[in-house]
Amino acid sequence: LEPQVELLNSRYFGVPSNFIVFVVIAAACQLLLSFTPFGRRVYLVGSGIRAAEASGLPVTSVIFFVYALAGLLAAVAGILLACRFHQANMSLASGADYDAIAAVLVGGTAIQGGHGSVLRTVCGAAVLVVLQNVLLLHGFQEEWRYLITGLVVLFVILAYYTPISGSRS
Amino acid sequence: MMRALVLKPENRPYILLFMVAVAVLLPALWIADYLGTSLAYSTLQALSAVGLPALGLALTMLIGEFDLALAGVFGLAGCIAILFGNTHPTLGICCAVLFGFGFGSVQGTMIAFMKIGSVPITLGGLLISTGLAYLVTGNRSLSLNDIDFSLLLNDPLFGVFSIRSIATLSIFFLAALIFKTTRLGRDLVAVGSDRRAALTSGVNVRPLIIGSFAFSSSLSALGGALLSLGLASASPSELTDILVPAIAASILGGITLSGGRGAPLGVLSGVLVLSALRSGLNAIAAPPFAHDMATGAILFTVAIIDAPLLHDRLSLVRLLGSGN
Repeated sequence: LEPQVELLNSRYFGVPSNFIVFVVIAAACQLLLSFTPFGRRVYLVGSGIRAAEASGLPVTSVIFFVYALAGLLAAVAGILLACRFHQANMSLASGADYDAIAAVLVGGTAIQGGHGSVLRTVCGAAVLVVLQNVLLLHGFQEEWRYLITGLVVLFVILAYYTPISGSRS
Repeated sequence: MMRALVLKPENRPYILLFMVAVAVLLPALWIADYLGTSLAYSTLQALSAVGLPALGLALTMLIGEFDLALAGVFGLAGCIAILFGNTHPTLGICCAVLFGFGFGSVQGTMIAFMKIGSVPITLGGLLISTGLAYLVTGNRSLSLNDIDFSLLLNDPLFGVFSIRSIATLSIFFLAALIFKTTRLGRDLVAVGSDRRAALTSGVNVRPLIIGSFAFSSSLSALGGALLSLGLASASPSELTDILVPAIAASILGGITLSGGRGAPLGVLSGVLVLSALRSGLNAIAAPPFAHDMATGAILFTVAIIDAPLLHDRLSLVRLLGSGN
């Protein structure tokens, strides 16, 4: 497996190849959501599962493929992580679950479903990663990084979800 | 009659507990000295670790919300208990519970008054409480000076109990009594079932939401404080993996993610299922992953059996089968 691992750890024009994999997959998923019947069905099922079922959409298969896709993407992330560290163990991605939820929420995807996009989630993830790196480069200890990240996540979520002039985002 | 009892959703946690208890006791047939007080003691000790956060989480799930922050509060309260417990252990417990109450009240107020979903708010709460845990400890492990208090908390009483497990069981039974005999239980179920209907029928929804989150955080804090004092040590990263067992116990205990169903004694059954399974597998020297796999398999089975349309679809399949 060594050549494949090296391939995923190498850089092209200064860009790490695992970032290129991420961009390609994110772009493919955004295209899938925006320009295919499956994407529209995902939004419709998220907006109202009963209405989607009543209007004849294949709700079961949409849910099945969404979960299958989530599993596939988690597996790809696991492979990229294992290649990066040249090892694999169960604690390698500890805390990644909460970071993933935070990235989705900071990106503005509605937790009740029906709204959101891959691009927004990419932005949410970028905000969190940039914030953590900036704090690291400014010499903040790990404990402060956790706290400041938590406060920023809470602030962004409050800004997103607070109803403004009677309407709810 | 028997069939109706088995099919009743509220009876399933107890049936599951009976089945797991039988499975855990089975190795006694071929392993000598398998059945002793140590099996019951270790089950109740495991119960006292997961029980209180599971009860708190179940309460928020009952009203159709979700308290992700309990994992952070659990760990942070343990650190607070050790920090202040070095002055006096009781002071440590009081400070931890007060912190939990305050933290939960703030979260509940934000959820109730700003009408923001509980998952985003409590995720922020989780990250903040985890950060605070690293901050108050300076990212290092703390230890309790009064080791006698730690031994006292875990000292076997009547062979199978300890102060920790008695405290946990007492809180469960008290919660069950309040839930069964006062209006509070019905109001919580009403809020979880249909919030608008509860509001129009005169239920004070906001205080119930704030109270549920305050109670959930207080229980998590008490659980974390008792566990850390019992272990005589605390570290910010030590107790953060409590969320998954708490969710599993709540779901096995008959609490639904959509809210409006479940009761404290059902949650106690769910926690006992997990604890008995862990102790039983440890007693037969099963590898550590066996417990996770067994819990996962039971959760899957319960989720499939509890699927809302399963009975309708099975009836349809039977009908189609008989038609052919």
